[in-house]
Amino acid sequence: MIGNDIIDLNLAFKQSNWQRRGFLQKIFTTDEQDFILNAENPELNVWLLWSMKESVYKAVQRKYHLEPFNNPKRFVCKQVEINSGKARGVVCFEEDACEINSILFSDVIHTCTANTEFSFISENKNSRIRLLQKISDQKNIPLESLNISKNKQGVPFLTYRGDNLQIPFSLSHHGDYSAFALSLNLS
Amino acid sequence: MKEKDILDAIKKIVTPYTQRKEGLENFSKETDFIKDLEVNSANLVDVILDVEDKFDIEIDNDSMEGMLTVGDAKNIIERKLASA
Repeated sequence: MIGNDIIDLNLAFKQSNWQRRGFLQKIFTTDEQDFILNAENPELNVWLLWSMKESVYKAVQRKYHLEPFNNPKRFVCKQVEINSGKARGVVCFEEDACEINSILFSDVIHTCTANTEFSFISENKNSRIRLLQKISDQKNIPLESLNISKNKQGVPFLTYRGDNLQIPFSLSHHGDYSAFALSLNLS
Repeated sequence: MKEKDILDAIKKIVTPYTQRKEGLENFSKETDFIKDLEVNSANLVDVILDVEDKFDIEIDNDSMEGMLTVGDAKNIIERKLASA
């Protein structure tokens, strides 16, 4: 189960007004709202929890071949701890409890499911090619034979000369930033 | 309320959040907020809040879950208006 999410904080602050009436209530459980509102920096916590939910949404959508859906409240963040530029927690979705890790920089948050083996953050939009490069190196496959396609649910998958490699990965981009998460020892 | 009026109102609501403006040119019930208009997922929440304000309805999370296209939004609005 692999998912990741990157948030360009400067852009998020511009694109969304988290203090808008009803905004938090649509996305977060009451416990999550308390966590956010009691934090030293509520806005940062809005986007931290959001990125955790998004990462696990991508992970379960991939794992269970789910059609896209829009209901962030079904992803419940628990045991979130923030410590010197890092955060960790668990996101529950139905029967699954997925551990997640985040890195917090001054202007970007990157969150990955904890089973991620390789991750990458870029200030450019080049994560797609960097992901292919990484797989090419690790698997000893020529880069030009690798491709990314999307299934009917919109979930991307990796192909080698047209065959699905069954390698779970996740790509994310927001504003100037892009990122990937990848694991080669899961199917 | 006529279907066309609802679709026009949805178009007006979604326009400021649309990152792919050419997606608005063939705006229809099939238009997908994320795929065709590249509305970011946090702004999808704003779309829903704007729809609630505009039509004076409440969209619960179960209805919100399947609101991915303009047609989905239209159906939910019509249903809520009928039961209001």
